[in-house]
Amino acid sequence: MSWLDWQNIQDEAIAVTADGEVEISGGMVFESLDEAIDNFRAITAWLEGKRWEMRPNNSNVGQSETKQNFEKATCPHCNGTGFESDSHTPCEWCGGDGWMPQRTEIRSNVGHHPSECHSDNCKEPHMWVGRFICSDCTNFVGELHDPYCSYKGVVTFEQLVVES
Amino acid sequence: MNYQDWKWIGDKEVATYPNGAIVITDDGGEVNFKSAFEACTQLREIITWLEEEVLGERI
Repeated sequence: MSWLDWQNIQDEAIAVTADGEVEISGGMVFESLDEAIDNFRAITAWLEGKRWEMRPNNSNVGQSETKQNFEKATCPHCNGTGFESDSHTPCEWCGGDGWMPQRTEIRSNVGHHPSECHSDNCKEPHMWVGRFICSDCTNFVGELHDPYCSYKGVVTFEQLVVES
Repeated sequence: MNYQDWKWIGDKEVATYPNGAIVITDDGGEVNFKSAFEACTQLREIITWLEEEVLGERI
């Protein structure tokens, strides 16, 4: 299993797996009540800082216990309601990755992604020419729906060619 | 060592011991949660239980 992210918190190792599960290794044995409480608070604080990961595992999609806690908006990719108004949180339905503000701007200014046209008016493929760059890891992010990194920041579009 | 107090929180067993130790166990060697949301929810419940009931009884 690959990790999306991990962190050592005191003597515990916290890992978020690719499918959204959280594993805590280190035994979860604490010498005192204060140590346990401090540790749990630190773990929850770290996890809460990962809003992009605060979604149910795939088996719970559609009946998420998280749904009641977040304001929902329509996902620009699947038109589902699994997308949080916080644009940095993935869509629960299609896994849309929180690039909505940038993508909207790109869509209106540049053209279309080669694999899927997101334009409101045009359904033609093969018009996107460029690549998406994650500002956190500076890696190339190929498909719009495939976050190759533990995305937390802004994804920008690097335009390679402008088609007239 | 015999536990002093214990409680199931979700699918985790939380046990306190007379020497003050706290142990959380799961089925495997690691404690796993299905999601970060579940982890935060259960850990908050554990904190609440430890603070309000376990610590409260000791005071």
